Amino acid sequence: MPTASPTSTWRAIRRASGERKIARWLALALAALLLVLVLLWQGEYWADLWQRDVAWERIQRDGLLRVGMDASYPPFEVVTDDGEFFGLDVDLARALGERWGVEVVMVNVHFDGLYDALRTNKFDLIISALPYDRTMTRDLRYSQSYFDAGQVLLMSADRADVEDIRDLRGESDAPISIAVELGAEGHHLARKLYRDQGLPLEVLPQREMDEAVALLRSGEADGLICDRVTAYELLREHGDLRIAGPPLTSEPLVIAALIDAPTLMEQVNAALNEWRADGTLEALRARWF
Amino acid sequence: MLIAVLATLNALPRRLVIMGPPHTVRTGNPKLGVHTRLTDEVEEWKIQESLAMVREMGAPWIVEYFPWGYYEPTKGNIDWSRPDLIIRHARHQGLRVIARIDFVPEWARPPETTFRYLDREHFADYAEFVAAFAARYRGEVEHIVVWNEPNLAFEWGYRLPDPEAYAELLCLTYRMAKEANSEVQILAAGMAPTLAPPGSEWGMDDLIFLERLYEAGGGACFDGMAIHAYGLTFPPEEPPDPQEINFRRAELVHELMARYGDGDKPCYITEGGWNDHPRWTKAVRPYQRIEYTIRAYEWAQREWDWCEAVAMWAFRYPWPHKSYQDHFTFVTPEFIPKPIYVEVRHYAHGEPYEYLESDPTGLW
Repeated sequence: MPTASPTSTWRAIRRASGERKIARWLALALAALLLVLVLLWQGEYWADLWQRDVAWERIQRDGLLRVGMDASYPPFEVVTDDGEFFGLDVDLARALGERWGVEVVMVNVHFDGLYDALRTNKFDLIISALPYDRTMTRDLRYSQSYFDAGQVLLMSADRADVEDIRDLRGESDAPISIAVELGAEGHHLARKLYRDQGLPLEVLPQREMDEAVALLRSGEADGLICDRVTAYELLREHGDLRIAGPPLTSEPLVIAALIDAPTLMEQVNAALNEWRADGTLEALRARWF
Repeated sequence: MLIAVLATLNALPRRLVIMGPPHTVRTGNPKLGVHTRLTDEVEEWKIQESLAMVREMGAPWIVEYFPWGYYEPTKGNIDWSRPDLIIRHARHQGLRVIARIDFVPEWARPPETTFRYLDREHFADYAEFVAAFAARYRGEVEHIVVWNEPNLAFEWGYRLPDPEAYAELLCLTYRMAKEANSEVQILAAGMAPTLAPPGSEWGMDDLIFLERLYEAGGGACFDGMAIHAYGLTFPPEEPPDPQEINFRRAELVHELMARYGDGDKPCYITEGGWNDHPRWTKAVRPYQRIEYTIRAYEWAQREWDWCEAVAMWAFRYPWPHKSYQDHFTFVTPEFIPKPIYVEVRHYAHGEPYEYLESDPTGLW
């Protein structure tokens, strides 16, 4: 059995010590890299933490929340000739003002100009039945959705078994007849379901929504496709109808603020969360639909 | 290895675009047109498809937006590749292009201003770009619209509309464009039809703006007038009234031009039409939109000898706006023709309608 000389032992110790150093440095470098990655990943969080939210500070200082909307869109927002605003979004804006203890002023701007007006500080928030737009998220902060305006399937309330458009077919080979308003979104969706998903649909386009509803109620159509807002209006008028299953498409309506207003948006989301949990949002919807 | 895979993937051919033989537009109404939105369309085949569908619908005219700021990111360095592409395809489909030019590059405006903010110091920069455009597309683009809706604050960089300043911009642009290409037809901007009260911070009544444009000498600086003719909730035949916004408000614009001795200059409807959003207060039902649109095309053809083209807003957007704006279009972003497209095509070709029960024009 060979014995190690003192020189070779010393070399071995140095080598081991050098490897430990390298390992230690490697571990340190890896930790630093991880830290950098975490910081990059959570960059927005840190930026938010260090960033002053001028809009939120101004709202608090002046006691005034300025809300932009295109008040031509019932029942979300309308303005009378006397300049009185009303609608679901108007109530939402006022509720935010009440929660924060500030006065609320509505600024009426054509829909095309809403984002530009927000950018040029004409108001602090857009609350205007605004659809979420993923192409704008570099410049804007969007809230959680407070209303989904997507397309839904409306049908007779006695068909409790139906929770999906496919259920309408049942055992029969006959196509599913769907009433729609000619040229409306529901019409496009029905054509798309037929074309892209191969659903055996017979699409029945009608000039007026009332005519489409008449087809549904008389049993000539199995279902009717329309947006959720229209559906709520129809449900108010016709107790023998119901919305079947989950929405066929999703169109979340949101509130928008500038990207440098993290605190303001945090406050908006906190309010929406609370109001969703305590039923305030649902009550608001019921009030206007 | 990874680099090789990525390089291979990048080198894979994109969807092939074949030009084929040049086309001509077959139509029963030579004034029929649409405003296309190809500016933000990325893929070439989609540009081609959009323009082919315009031709197939029977529309010989398009209005297209060419944003100055996209093409001249630094002073004097103009990248013509996008406008080249759009104009080449449009001409190939046999379409006549009216070019609308605005959108201020960042270098030509102060920080924290919108892309519609153009001050006097940079009027010449804009005019130079328009002149370069006119020279490059000589024989291909006959008409250029100088700016867009300058009677709205947001189109004027959130400043009060200023007809006198716009007259200066128009005259400088007219002179420089004509020097570059004497054949180009310079059109005064289409105004937003609006009844804004005097002193409104959001806009100025279009007829008042136009009158002040003439008073400022702007009348000598355009060959034709672009007009925006939206019908809102009124049918196309609704008589014009200075206190109403409707399709025939265009006649008031033409009458005003005639008062200033410009009655013989041609007009071009570069935006217009109806919207069929279910809840927008200024919208109509989709079937009404179809009927009104066809009747409006027909009205212009029969009644407006001073009007050369009617380009309705808007043919198709590259992606959904998810707002009432989507309800102005003829074709979905996925190229699905809406019933309005189908019926306008039937109208242009004198064919039986598919959705309408009777002919809205009463012609057949």
